[in-house]
Amino acid sequence: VSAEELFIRSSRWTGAAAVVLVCAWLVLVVQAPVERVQGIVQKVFYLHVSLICPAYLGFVLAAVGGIGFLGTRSEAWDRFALAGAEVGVLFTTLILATGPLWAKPVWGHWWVWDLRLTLTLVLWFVYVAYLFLRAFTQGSDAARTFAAVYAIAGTFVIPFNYYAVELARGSTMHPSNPASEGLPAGMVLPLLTGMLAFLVLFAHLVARRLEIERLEARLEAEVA
Amino acid sequence: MAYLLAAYGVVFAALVGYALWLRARRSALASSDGPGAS
Repeated sequence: VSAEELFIRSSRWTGAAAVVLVCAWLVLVVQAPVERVQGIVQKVFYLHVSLICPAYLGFVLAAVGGIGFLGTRSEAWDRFALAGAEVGVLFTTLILATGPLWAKPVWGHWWVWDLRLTLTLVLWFVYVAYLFLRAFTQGSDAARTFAAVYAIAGTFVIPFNYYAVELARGSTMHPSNPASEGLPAGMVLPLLTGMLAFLVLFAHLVARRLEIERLEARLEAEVA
Repeated sequence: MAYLLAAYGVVFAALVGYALWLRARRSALASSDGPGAS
């Protein structure tokens, strides 16, 4: 049994695990203390921040798949890259959607062009462009090679995005990364549970997306 | 409260919608892949 097949089979239990973890996380979010300054809307934090890990991981998987494809010319690696990028774009879209819903009541603005927000938008555009590239160049080995190099190059945005608040040196409205701030005790467990829940859900969605790519490849091979 | 519910609502709607779309697409492909497909 190939590693791809094992990963796809894992979606059975990762789906169930994700449902259990998300339910536990929601209970913890409801029970988490209400922040004194921002009030109840601060609980968007547990959602917005938890989405970042799977978003980054999706783009890292796209690069890993790209490296694997360039090294082996195996289409399995190429499928892995595409599945990672697509699910990564989904999670980044949700970061971009939840950020303004938190910013409006707290900052008074839906969006500001500071470094963190702008680089998140750039990261999203980079991988949306990757998905367009894949959609319009199906089946070509040259296109797969270019897409692999593109996916690897795209990951260079990630560290700039992660350290954007530090790089901006105070000229940003966006809070620092939670790890460097030091969270109150009651906020740590809901955040970590949320991160774990979304990572498991991410693994489930990537496996299901990978299965579709494999089925499509099988059908194309039958037609050809 | 409205912003909080909107944020959680958008995320859950999108994730559930994507999961259902994957399931529907898989079913369509599996049915056209022949009776042995699983």
